[in-house]
Amino acid sequence: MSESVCEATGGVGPDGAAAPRNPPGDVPAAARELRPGRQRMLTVARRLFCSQGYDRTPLRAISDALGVTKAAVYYHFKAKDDILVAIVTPVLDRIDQLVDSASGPLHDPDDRRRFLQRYVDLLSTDADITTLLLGDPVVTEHPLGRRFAAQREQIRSLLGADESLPAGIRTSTALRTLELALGEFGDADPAQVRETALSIAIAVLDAGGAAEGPSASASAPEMA
Amino acid sequence: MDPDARTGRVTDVALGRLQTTGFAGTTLEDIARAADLPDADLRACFGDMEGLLRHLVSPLVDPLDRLTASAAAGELRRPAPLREVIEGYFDTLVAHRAVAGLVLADPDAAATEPVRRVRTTVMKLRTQLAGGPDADLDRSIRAAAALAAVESAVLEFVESDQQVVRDVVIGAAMAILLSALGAGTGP
Repeated sequence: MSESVCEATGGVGPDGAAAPRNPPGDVPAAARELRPGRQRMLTVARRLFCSQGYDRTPLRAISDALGVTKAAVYYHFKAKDDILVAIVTPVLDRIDQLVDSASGPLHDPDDRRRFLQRYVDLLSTDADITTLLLGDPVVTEHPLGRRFAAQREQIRSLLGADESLPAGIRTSTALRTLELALGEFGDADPAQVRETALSIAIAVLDAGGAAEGPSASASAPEMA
Repeated sequence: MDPDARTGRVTDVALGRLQTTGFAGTTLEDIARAADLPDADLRACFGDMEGLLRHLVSPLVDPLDRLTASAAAGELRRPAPLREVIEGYFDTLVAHRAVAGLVLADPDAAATEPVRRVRTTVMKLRTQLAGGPDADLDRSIRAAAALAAVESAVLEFVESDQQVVRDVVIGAAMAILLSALGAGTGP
């Protein structure tokens, strides 16, 4: 089968039948990775998972959206779960790299800001995946969702969550609001959303002392 | 058991069940069994799960309507009225925490008419915090984030010292609303 046919049909013969000459077990993994149909499947599956939910997207919906048979999808992925793993794992790997790059708690405000800037950049690149990981109940309970939850806990610790209850609340709030901004407003002006999200997270982390007291409002500025 | 006590028992049992099994995974029969009441009584009283949900979320409706009305009437560019709205939102959610969890965190319940009604009110509040329907993107994001800050703290820090949670999250929400675009993001 030529690459062009593979690209056009997702690895299916011109008659639309699932006709891989070799079953998945006979095709070297590296070769399957290189088939362009696989990437197209991931793109379509990602759009469907993120728009209608993982559980509400049967394999049939993916194959229909691609215009191929289910067997053609099975040629590349043993199960729907494998597609989710292929979509989400690279995002989580990049977050791991970010977390690993920090040598310890980020006490210095500039270090904290730089770290959050990189986290914002990562999440905004894959805002749809972030929303899926946080908002899809099936994905949240999936090992991938639990891995993301563990990463968030690591990030909270780096931001000082373990130092006190107020710090714990502020770090949770900073991450939650940052993720909401990127997830919910992801379709708006991306650069401004990133800037506002980061500004919000910093403001939350820095909101201590007088800002928490009942008289804080008296000295606070008016909104622009 | 008198009718009020029975309704109170159904409310407690239903909120407990919904918290653990979710709206999609709970039936009126499950709740009747857990409350040790006949199915027919619940059907006569609530009709179906959506009717029960309407009853469960009703304590949130009036306080949120009042809060939204006061926000509409207030000058939300000034910190003091702004703070009153944030405090009111926090106190309302804390007073009805289990219901708030159902409204804010159960995606299946979110599709029902009673929960959509509550969420529409919250969206109105959010629009007012942003400065109106034509608010720019920065203020829209800040309004959404301020309310989300309150919601996540109410649902997440249940066992913590509530006065500390209140002070910290209201301070954080005020910081979100009052920090100007670009503040803290410079080089």
